[in-house]
Amino acid sequence: MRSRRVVNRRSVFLNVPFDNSYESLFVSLISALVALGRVPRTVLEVPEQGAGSLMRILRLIRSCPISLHDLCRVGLPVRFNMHFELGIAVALSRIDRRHRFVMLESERHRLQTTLSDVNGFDPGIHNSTVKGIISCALAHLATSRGNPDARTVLRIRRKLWKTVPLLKRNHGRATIYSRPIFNELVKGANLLAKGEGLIVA
Amino acid sequence: MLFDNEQSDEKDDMPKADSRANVSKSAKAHLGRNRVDGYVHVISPATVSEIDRAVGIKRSHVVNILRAFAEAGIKV
Repeated sequence: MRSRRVVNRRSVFLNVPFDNSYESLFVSLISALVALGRVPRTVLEVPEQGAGSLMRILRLIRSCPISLHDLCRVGLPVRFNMHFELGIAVALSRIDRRHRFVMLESERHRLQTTLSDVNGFDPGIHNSTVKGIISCALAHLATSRGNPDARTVLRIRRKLWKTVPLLKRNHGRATIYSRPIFNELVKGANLLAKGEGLIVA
Repeated sequence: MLFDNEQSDEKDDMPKADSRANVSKSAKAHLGRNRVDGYVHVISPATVSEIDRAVGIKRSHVVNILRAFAEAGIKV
């Protein structure tokens, strides 16, 4: 049996906007990460135990060697969460030196205006499309061998997306951003990736 | 005959640096090349059970997603 530390090395913290219009991209990210044999982690899965969400986020980011930050929400209402969590990841990458961060944006060159402090780091541009975000995930997180192709990930994502309305209805939720739905989506991606022969039992 | 022996001696004295170039690199050398900031970024994919354990997937999650796949007409 592999140790928990080895498992954590495959964890990727997802720092993305939890809004309705991002659901499609969120499912795409889950599909891509599981197809790559990575473990998607979000703050949704960590139960509140009195430490506050900030401590939960900090602990979770620290437990993941890579974090993925989508900074595409810059309109109104203003959302600072993604940028704040990116700041935590940048600090960890400089202090721990065991953390890496990947930035995503939907528009090319916009980050130079909205967050000029990170000039010099090129974000992955996904154009708010499913294909774009899958391409970004594969480009930034692929390993040296055994990576899935984008078409296979799209196939997994398409099947997983069909379950979303059913999962929302079963849990009585308006969005997919809850712990049980996230866990079920990860498990669904897991089963589909196994069916495609990308990961083993 | 004497001439043949001299030839073989010459071969033994040849430097072996060239022949070592074809020897496959050790695992340590491979890791060394991939080491960035003291951290090895080459990882193997997680298995299904490892992902389940890391995320904390319970039996109820498995049942629910399988039911959703069945309702959506997706075979897994």
